[in-house]
Amino acid sequence: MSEPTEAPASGVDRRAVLRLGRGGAVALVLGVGVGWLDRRGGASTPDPLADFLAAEADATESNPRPTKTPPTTAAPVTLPEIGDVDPGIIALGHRALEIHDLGGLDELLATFPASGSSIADPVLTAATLTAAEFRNGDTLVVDGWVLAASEVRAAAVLALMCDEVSC
Amino acid sequence: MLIEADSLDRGTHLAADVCIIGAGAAGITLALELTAAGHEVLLIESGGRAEEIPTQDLAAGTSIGNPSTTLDSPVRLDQMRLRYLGGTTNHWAGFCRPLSPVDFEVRDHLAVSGWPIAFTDLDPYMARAAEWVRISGADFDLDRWQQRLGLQALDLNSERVESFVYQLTFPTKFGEVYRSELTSTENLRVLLHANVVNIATQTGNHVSGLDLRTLGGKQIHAEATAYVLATGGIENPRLLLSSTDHDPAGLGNTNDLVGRYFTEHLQVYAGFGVLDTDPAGMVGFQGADVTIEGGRHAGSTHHAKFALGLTDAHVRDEATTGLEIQLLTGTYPLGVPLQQDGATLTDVAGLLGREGIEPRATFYLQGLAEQELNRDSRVLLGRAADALGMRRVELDWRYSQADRQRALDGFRVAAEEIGAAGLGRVQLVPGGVHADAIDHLVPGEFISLYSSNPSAINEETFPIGMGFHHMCTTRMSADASTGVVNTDCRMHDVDNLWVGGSSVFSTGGVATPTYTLVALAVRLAEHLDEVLS
Repeated sequence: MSEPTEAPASGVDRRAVLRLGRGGAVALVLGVGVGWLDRRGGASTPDPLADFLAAEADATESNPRPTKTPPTTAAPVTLPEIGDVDPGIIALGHRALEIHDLGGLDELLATFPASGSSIADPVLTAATLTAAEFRNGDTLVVDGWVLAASEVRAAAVLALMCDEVSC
Repeated sequence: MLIEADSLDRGTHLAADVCIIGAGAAGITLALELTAAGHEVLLIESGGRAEEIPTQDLAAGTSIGNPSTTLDSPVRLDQMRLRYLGGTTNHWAGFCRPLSPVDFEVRDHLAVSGWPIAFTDLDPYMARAAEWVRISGADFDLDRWQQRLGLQALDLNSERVESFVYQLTFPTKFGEVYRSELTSTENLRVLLHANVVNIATQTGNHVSGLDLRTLGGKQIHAEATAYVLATGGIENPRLLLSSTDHDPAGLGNTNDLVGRYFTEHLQVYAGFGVLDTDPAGMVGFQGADVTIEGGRHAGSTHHAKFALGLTDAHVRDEATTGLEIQLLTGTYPLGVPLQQDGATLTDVAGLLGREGIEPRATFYLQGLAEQELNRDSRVLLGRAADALGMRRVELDWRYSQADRQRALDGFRVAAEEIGAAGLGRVQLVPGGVHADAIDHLVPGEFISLYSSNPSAINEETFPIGMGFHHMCTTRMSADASTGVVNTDCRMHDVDNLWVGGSSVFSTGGVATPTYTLVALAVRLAEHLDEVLS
C-alpha cells in the first residue's frame, strides 16, 4: 500500500481529510474516496452525489426528495493511513458488521460517491447526505443507536480497512 | 356548604336541580359553573377533606389484563384514583395541553376512531377551562410561548415531528384551590363521605334518584332533575354496571358498551441521546415559570415547557397513532455499552466527530403513546364486594403488540428527525433504566442492571407503564351502537343522566386529559343550564 503525497486535483488534501476523522466517519470515507480516485488519475465518472444533492436542494411537493442514496461507480480501495481514525468508530463498525448484513468492503464502498469533484467539503457533504438519509428514514440501528445508513456503512468500511492494516 | 353525610338523619331525602356524583376536576368545575348560573346543586363525594384508608379501599380492585403499573412497579387500582375532595387532582402532575385535531378525525386504519364533535367545537370552552386549571389561557402557540418564556424549542423543521408547549399547573388540587367556594356558595351543598351505591330507575331510561350509603351505615336518598356521573374512567362504568334496577346488565348498557374501550396512555422510557449541538438547546425542555396575567388566578404562577410530538400530518399520512416525547437531561456513562460488547456513547460521539461529550449534553427520552381503542379492553365487575356491598372492579386493560410497535416506530421517527436536524443521535433502548436511576449509576451498575434484566430491552416485551389516564369507558358517539353518551355527554339510553370526565372521550389521543375534561365540564354546564332553564 502506497501513500499519496500530493494533494488531489479537487484541492482536498488527503492527509487533511484523514484528520477529518473528528468531522465524522462519513466525511472521512468521502474524503478517502476523493484521494483514491485522484491517485488513480482523476478518473472521470458520473457524479451521482452531485445529482443527489441537487435533488435535495430542489425538492418540492411535486418533486419529492430521492428516497435512496444514489448508486455509485466506486471501486475497491485500501486505506494505508488509517491510524487517525477514532477507535470508537472502528468498534462501532465491527458491531454493525456483526448485526447487519452489510456486505464486504467492495459492496460498502460502492455505496459511496466516487467522484471527487463535488466533495470539496466532505464534512458539509456528509452532513447533507446523512440528514437526507435521516429524513427519508434510511437508517440502520446499531445497539439501539439510530444512525444514518451512510454513517453505519462508513464505520463498517473503516473497520474492515482497519482489519487490513494496523490501526 | 360542606355537609358530612353521617350527620344527616337516616333515610334523609335530599333534592336539588342537579346531583353531581364525584367532586374531582369535572365535578367541581361543573358544580361551580352551574351554581354560578343560579342552579341548586348537590355535589356528592365519597371521601372527606383528606385521604382516608377505609374510603380509599372502596376503589380497590383487580387487574386481570395488562398489568397496572408504572414503569418500575405495580400500582393498585386504589392507588390510581383518590376518593376525597378534589379527586385524583390530589396527585395530578399538572400537565395541560389540548388534544390535537387529528384525534377527532376518523382514521380508517384504526378499529375505532374519531369523535362525533369537531376539535373546534371545544374552542369556546378552552379559555374557561384554562382558568379552572390555573394556566395562562388557551393559547398554546409555540412562537408566542418561545417569546414569553425566552426559550427556544428544538427547531426540527420537520413534517413528521414538531415541538409544542405544555402548560403545567402547580398542580391545581381542585379540593384545596376551590375549597372556599365549595364551602361558601349558597346554592351548593357538598355531601362528604356519601357513596352512591345505586342509580335508581324504574324504566331504565330515566333516573328516579340516587341511593347513597356511608361507611358509618347511613342510608340517604337524593333526587334531582338532572344527574351527572363524574367519578372517573373506572368508577363511572362501575356505578352504571352496578345499577341494575331495570336491567341486570346495568344502566344505559343496552348495547353492552359500558366499561368497554378502556384506554390509557402508554408510558415508555424509550432511550437516550447525545446532543451534537449546544446543550443550551435543552433548556426549553426544562421550561420556566410564568405568572398568570388575568382572571380568577391573576398573579399566581405556573410552569411551561416544550416537548416533541408526532405531527398530525404524520399520524394521518402514515396511518399511525399519536406519540408525545419529553427530552430530559441526564447524565450518561460515556464509555459503557448498554449491552455487553455493544456500542457506547463514546463510539457514537466518534462517529459524529465529537472528541468529548459533556454529560450535560445528553438526554433521555420518555413518552406517552396513544392506544388504539379495543372493545375487549374494559372495566368489569368482579365477584368480590367492598365494604358497602358493591362489586369490586376487574380491570382488563389490553393493549396490543401493534400499539407497542407504533410507539417504537414513533420514537424512531423522532430519532431520525433529531439526526436530520443535526441535533444529535438517539439510542433507542425501550424500557431503559428509570430516569431517576441514571443520576446514581456507575458503569458497572449500568451493565449489571441490563444483564440482570435482559427482557427490559426486548422490543417485543419492554415494559409499558400507565399514564393513569383512564378514558373512553363511556365514550361519546353519534349513535348508541358505538358509544354510551351522545354529543351532549348525555347517556344515549337515559334521558336525565349525563357523564363528565375522560370516560366520555371518544379516543384518547396523547395529550394529558385533565384540561380537555374540564373544558368538557364547562361545555356540559352550558348545556345543562339550557336544559334546566
